[in-house]
Amino acid sequence: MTLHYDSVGYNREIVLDLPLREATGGITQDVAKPHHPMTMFNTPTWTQLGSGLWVLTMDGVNQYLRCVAASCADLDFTTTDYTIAGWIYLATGGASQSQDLVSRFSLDSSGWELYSYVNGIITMRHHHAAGATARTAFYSSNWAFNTWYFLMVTRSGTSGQFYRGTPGGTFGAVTTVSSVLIDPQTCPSNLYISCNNGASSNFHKGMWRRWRVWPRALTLDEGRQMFERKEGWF
Amino acid sequence: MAVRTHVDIDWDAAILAVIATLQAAVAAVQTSVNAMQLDVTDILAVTNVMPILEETGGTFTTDGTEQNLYINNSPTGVYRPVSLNINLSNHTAADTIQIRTLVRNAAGGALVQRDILSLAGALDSDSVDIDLPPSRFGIQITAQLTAGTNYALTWEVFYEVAP
Repeated sequence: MTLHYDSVGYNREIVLDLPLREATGGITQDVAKPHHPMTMFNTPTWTQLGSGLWVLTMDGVNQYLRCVAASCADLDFTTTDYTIAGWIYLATGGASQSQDLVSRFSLDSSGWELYSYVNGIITMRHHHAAGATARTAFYSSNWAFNTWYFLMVTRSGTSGQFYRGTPGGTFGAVTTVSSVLIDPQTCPSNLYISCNNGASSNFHKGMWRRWRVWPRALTLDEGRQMFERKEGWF
Repeated sequence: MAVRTHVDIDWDAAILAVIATLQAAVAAVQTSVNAMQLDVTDILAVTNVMPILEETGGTFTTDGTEQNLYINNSPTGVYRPVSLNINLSNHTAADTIQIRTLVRNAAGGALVQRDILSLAGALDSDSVDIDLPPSRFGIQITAQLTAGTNYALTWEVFYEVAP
């Protein structure tokens, strides 16, 4: 029996899905309907884990992925809830203390960014051009380095929630500190994975496998299903 | 007149007996639950790896060289590529394009050409489908414009793969 991709519950409304399973070369494909064209820069490395699973490694110096702005307007999220989820390995020794994971933003003006900090905090931040504040955000702590996690962040109305899955362990919500989230303004920037909004700094050092984005807040159960289907490989 | 006989009941012993019976019943239920949990774990082990029919694709512009249309260079294990579709609406009577399917059939081996589809001149159909074989060690589909003027084409590939 075969399941059909769009019939799997957690794939409902999915807009970006990068399995990162090519295992060679400089092209990776989006298997969600929009087929976002992603381009790799400066030759990220394909790495095979002991289990046989291939992942994409970023060097924390200049490697990143990009989807040009004109091809990712559906990732604006100016009014909708959203979810970002994927397998991540934060490696020590990156050049920047603050490392962007996934972002589509203009600093203190528009868009959103998910970034990690050297102290083990991961933050989801909205940027605003007007109003009482230039930024609203939510974050969670205790993300250890040199460890694989299944990370999921959801925005639901004015608050956000982080979820964490540890291979060999469980998947669940983790303590999340959230300001009152304001909708990010529409953003003219490219989508970047593993660097800042200009591909000039904040490069991430670590490994990646299967990152997905939805314009809705997924449930704990949907996250758990994704986690359980893959965690044995990490 | 009926004679009533007084019988002393050891209530402590009676209650303990009932408790023992209940404990035995609970233990039996627990055994059943444990057995069901084992079944659930077994079922999850199967359903979590059930193949999912996925699709991906994009737009591709020829440049005269042999270019990757789709590649899975080293699958995690056996998976099932199904078919590749190419929209060749921009192909003209002056163009020739070759679509190659390459497979690797052993770990560490080379990707070897399995099929080549050469389309020259005017086409009967602008939409072309190529059937793909199962793969364990890698599969690649390439395109090369060998005559004519470079053009853009759209493509999509279907495959069944564990999540």
